[in-house]
Amino acid sequence: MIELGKISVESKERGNRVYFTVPKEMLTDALEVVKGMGCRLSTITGADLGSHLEILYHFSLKEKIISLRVILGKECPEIHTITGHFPAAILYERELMDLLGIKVIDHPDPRRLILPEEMEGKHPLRR
Amino acid sequence: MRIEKGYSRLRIPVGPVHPAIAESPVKFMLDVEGEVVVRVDFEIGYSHRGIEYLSQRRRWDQITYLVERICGICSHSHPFAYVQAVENMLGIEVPDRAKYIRTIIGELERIQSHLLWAGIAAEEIGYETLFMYAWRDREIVNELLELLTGNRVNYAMHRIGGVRRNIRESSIGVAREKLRKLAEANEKLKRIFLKDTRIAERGLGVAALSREDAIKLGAVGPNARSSNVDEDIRRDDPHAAYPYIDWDVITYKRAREIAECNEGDVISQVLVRLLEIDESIKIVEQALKDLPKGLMFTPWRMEEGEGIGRYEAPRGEVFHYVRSDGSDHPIRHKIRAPTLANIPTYIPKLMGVQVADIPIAIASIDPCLCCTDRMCTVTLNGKMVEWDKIRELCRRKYR
Repeated sequence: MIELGKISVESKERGNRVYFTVPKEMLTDALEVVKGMGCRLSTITGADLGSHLEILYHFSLKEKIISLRVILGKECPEIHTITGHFPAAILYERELMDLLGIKVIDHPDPRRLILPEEMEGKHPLRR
Repeated sequence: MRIEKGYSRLRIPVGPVHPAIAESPVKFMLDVEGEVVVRVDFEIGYSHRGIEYLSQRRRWDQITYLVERICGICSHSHPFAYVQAVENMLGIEVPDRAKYIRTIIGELERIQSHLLWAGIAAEEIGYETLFMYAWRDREIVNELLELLTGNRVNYAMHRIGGVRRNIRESSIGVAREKLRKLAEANEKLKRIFLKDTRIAERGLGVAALSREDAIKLGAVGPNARSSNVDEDIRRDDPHAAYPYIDWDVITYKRAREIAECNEGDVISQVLVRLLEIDESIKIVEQALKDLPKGLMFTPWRMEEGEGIGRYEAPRGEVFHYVRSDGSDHPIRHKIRAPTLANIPTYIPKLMGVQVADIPIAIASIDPCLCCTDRMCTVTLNGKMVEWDKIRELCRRKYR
């Protein structure tokens, strides 16, 4: 059983998939814990659920997938980069910026990834 | 052009359309000093088709067909990961026979993909005879896939909860015969790849990737295994029939026993993939022998929830995340193809590579950009053209 203690406010388990809801300001602490476990970053999912945005950081640890859920408001969503802990996140965070318009602070390479540079307006995966 | 200490640093654009990366559009900006690459930058997004967006507007059972068309080479892997994500969300247990059938087709697909890659690798170093041999042998497995599923690509075997088609008893004998032929063909390929000095000279130490870099950059699949990272989703996350079958994960260590190679270089990439073909043949033979009788699928009913499914595609871990509010459509469907995870490894891999080795270094991770990008824009007289305009132009042209 994987526990994050006080860092997570809510946890859910389904088969080998574990989900932890983490407050935005506690994300760094949670990342340190999962890094200490020896997890590999699988990918980052951003989702627009109508009322709010969600970011899920999926980490794989043998048969388990640990997902850290961060909930963001729809007005000017911002999140700090995790590339300091997991350099593999660089492309996933660029995708997040492109498709959902979430601002990733201190990203080392904040260019467009998928959409054309000159594109303006609504981000494709926003509702 | 800037001149520094007698050297000229040149920027060479490779792609988006380039003969060496024939399959998929990706742009590399490589700075070279003399013959050696000193800086690497890449740009993707030339074939983004908005599959995730499309998927959120399809019904759950239609998505299986949509994700199948993400990639033509690993068209079994994406639906495999997708159906597993939905099954994880709904808590469905798949019948044993369906698990075995999924495994058989998955492994046959791996064989055809690895043979295709072996051919491309041979062609990139200018060995066209070997390219012809590899692709000739690939026909055996394509015929077998046609026999079992009815299609050479896009097999359409998956449905949520099981499989759509059965494997007939009468085809099992033919399948065994073809597998025996494949094993022979693979032996021959391995012999050529190992004995030919041209391949050793073009591949040894080229585009190497250390274990530390592979872990740091999150490499997956044969690209990670050839850098001595022991991970394979089929073993690490037991699913389908893999836990019931006796097979090994091939890593750099096994390749090192056979021939001289460095972590992640072209030779170790070739060997890991060719040895994986042997393992896949082993898996299919066992699965055909133990194929249990029983139902083909479990009925299901959509509920609210979220689920993650993953599968070891020929290129590495395919990752699907689905989220449902109980309706006919997912509210989020996230797809992560293996090449997106492997692309950052190009930076250490291409650094220090000679200009002539760029094609094989690019091909060495077995990139599949159609998986990775999944929107394109068309400009006419400097204006972006909308979809309706394109259709109208098409109609006018072909009337």
